[in-house]
Amino acid sequence: MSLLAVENLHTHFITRDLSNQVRTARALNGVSFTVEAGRILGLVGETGAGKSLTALSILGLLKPPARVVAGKAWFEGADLLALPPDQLNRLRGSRMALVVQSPKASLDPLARVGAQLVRLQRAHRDVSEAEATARAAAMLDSVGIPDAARRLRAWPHELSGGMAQRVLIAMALVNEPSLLVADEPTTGLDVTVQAQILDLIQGLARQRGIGVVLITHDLGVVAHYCDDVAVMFAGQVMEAGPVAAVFADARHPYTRALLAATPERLRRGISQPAWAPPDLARLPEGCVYRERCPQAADVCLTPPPWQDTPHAARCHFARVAA
Amino acid sequence: MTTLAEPLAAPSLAARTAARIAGLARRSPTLAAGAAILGIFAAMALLHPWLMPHDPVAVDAFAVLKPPSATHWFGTDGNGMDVFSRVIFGAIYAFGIAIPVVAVGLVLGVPVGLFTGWRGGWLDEIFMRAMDALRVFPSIILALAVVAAAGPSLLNVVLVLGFLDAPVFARVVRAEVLALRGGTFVEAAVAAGNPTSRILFVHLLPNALRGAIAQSAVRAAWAVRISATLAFLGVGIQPPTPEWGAMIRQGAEYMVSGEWWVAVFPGLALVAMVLGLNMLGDGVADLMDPRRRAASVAR
Amino acid sequence: MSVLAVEDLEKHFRVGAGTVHAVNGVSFRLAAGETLGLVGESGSGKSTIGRCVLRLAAPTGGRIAFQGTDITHAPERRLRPLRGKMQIVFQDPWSALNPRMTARALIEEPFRLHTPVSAAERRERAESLGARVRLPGRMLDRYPAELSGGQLQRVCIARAIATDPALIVLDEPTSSLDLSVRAGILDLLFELKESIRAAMLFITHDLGTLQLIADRIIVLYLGRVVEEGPARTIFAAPAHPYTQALISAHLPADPAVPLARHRLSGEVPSALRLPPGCAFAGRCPVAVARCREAVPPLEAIADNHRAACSRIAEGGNLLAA
Repeated sequence: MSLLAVENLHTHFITRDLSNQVRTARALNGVSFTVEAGRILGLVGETGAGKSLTALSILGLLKPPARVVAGKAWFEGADLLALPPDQLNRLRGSRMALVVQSPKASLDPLARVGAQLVRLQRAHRDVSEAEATARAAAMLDSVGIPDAARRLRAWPHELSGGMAQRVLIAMALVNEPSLLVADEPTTGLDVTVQAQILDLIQGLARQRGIGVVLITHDLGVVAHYCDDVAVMFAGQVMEAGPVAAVFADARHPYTRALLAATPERLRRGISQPAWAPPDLARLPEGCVYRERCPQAADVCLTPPPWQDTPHAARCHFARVAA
Repeated sequence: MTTLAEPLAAPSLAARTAARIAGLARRSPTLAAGAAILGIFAAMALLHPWLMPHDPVAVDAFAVLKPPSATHWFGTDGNGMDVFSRVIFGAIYAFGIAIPVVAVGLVLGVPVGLFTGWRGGWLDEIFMRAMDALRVFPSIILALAVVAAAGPSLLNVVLVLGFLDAPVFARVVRAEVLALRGGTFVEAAVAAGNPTSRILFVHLLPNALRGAIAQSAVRAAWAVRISATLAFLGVGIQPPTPEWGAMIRQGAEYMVSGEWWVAVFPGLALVAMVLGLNMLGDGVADLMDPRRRAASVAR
Repeated sequence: MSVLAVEDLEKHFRVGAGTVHAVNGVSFRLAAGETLGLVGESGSGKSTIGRCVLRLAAPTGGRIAFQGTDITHAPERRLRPLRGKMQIVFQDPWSALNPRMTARALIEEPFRLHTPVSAAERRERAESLGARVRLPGRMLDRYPAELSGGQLQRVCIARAIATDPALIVLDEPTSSLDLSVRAGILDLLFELKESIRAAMLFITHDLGTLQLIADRIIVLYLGRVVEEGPARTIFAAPAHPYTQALISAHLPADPAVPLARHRLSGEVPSALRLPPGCAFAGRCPVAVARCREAVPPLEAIADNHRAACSRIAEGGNLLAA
């Protein structure tokens, strides 16, 4: 039984453009994946693929004009997308947690770090101030912040980038969630600090059995810190499977293109076509990738199948494992 | 050799413009209403030879102070001139004042705003305080003084009012320049070796005009009002010129004796035009506000 | 004669809380046609150096000579004619282009400013530049808002190479771009490197990129050079502990490659208060007492390879895996 099972998630942005015409941008078009306890799923893709949007949709954090129009997200026996807001609220911050890209923007600038940690606990559980404070210090310690007891009294603006990100992780974990969604948690941090944060997340997943969705555009992070990977493009999962399998034997042309674009694999003489991001209001019929795909054929005008195997790709030409 | 992906073909310019105008009207009724009102006045100004039933300055001693009737829709004034025709003709003066005043204000104010916003420092301080001083001064008094000294001609009125408008435009443009100054494309312009004149006029100006444009309509409304006030006070345009302010001045004498139409109709025209200009200004400012531009939800 | 000669460059910023010591004595030379990579993390001063070198910021100390001419304190009007020969490509293509100018106008601008040619000639040159950066002719009449990130960066590059500059500073030119787009731009830069003779100062935090494109690399930490040498040498045998840690922290996009990570604790100290001695000593796994006493000088280790670490001489600079 997976910790989190997302089925066929569709999210649209419904807006009016300058001519007052209704424009529907189909940002997520049937996203499905599962997350297992103790394992890290890397959700990878470029700008506009829908990675962050997937996280926001599942956690019920979408703002108009974005709306979930179809799909299910099974978590601990309930469909998150069908829950009333107050129930979802109780789950957020306690059973499922979100860590985002810019830690400075996510911390309340007017409250000390310790106070925020205490507040979070008391919002979800019946604990005394003293207990909560003790736990807060323990959390800060477990995320590798030195001198934790003193740090409780720090203001967010006094923290460096890496420190602030650790605090955010502490805040995410203080109520012992079973699911952690980390949206580009290390983008913008120095490479040497990145390693520390990723080590921390991986350690926590293993030790506490937390299921992690790690959203990133960095294939290096996926290669070394994720157990499974789902590659997204134009709001769909193009390929998914264990990291080793997908990297060694990429079955979808988009995955292959992404891998070929990494500096290590950039070979001289092979010119890279420069594609503009897909127009989500005008996606092609059939396979959404067909306009860029070197292998596109007539059959691609029909939606490609998705195999029900551990390593699957949404492509008519995906070779099935022997 | 590689190529970039082909985008979809863009619709024709005409089709896009038409769709945009229709869309604009729906998004900002204020803008639409203001534009409509001004459109009517503009039509009056441009098509006046065909719209005026009578000669606006033709004296008719036998038809003095006649109330509104079939022949004289708005009645006649103390000289027997047809009020309706005079109101229509007055639209020319309204535009003839509004447009040049805003133009003068822009020509004087925008370069000052650009330059001081860009340079900053003590130059900025001095200019801005000077502009502030000018704004604090009651404009009517200043206008009265200048026009009284230099003579009540259309040109003088336009120059004075334009001069008084300049600080507003300067301030608005300066604010935009201050915001743009730190931007990367400005740094790129410097890195490319642009002389200051090009930085100001080619790079900053097109991006800094937004606020000035929104202000233009509002300042035009102010210009129309003030010039009418000056005329009313006897300092601006003189009767029998069919300018609305002058007409109101004339008509004021007859209000007490009951011949209300001489002053009321030009008054209404004045109010309508100022209202139209203000609505246009509001609508334009609204539309240019990037927060409003962010889409609204369609339910 | 070097295209660029920088000596003891210093740049300090006054801020409310004190002085930010962004650049603290950096020296290097750039030969014609050479690509020098400036690599460092936050606080290293690499972007500041890029800007000082083009005199978009005035140095607080040191000397900068461009093609032999001292431009350290030159007034703007003396710099302007030189600007055609020294160009920059910024990190964020969306904000680096005037939103009210078409791509064509943006590419033609350098010609307007530096080479007086007819309008027809300008047009032709702009079109051939567009072709050179693989931007189709149609795109030239578009405004920046109508172009994608990769296309915008191509416009920036076209603009930068328009007047055949002797020096191009590239400040993280691919960091804001998507993976697949990044590859295209790097490809283009590599190709241009071989065809134009400009010297390139490539500023980045991404080692993967440098491995592809840099001839020489300078590693910066808190405004000082900690290591300098040919790219191949730096990657194969990094001498300074920080360089070793930096290289090991890079994550290759291949799970089969084993990581040999040198784990560093803590973060880059604040530039408001430079620590005495070696700036890296606080995090260095092999630091000893004397590292904190004096700033180690940049010393030659091998041909063309220098590093600033007092432990190299005794062989104690190598980090354990």
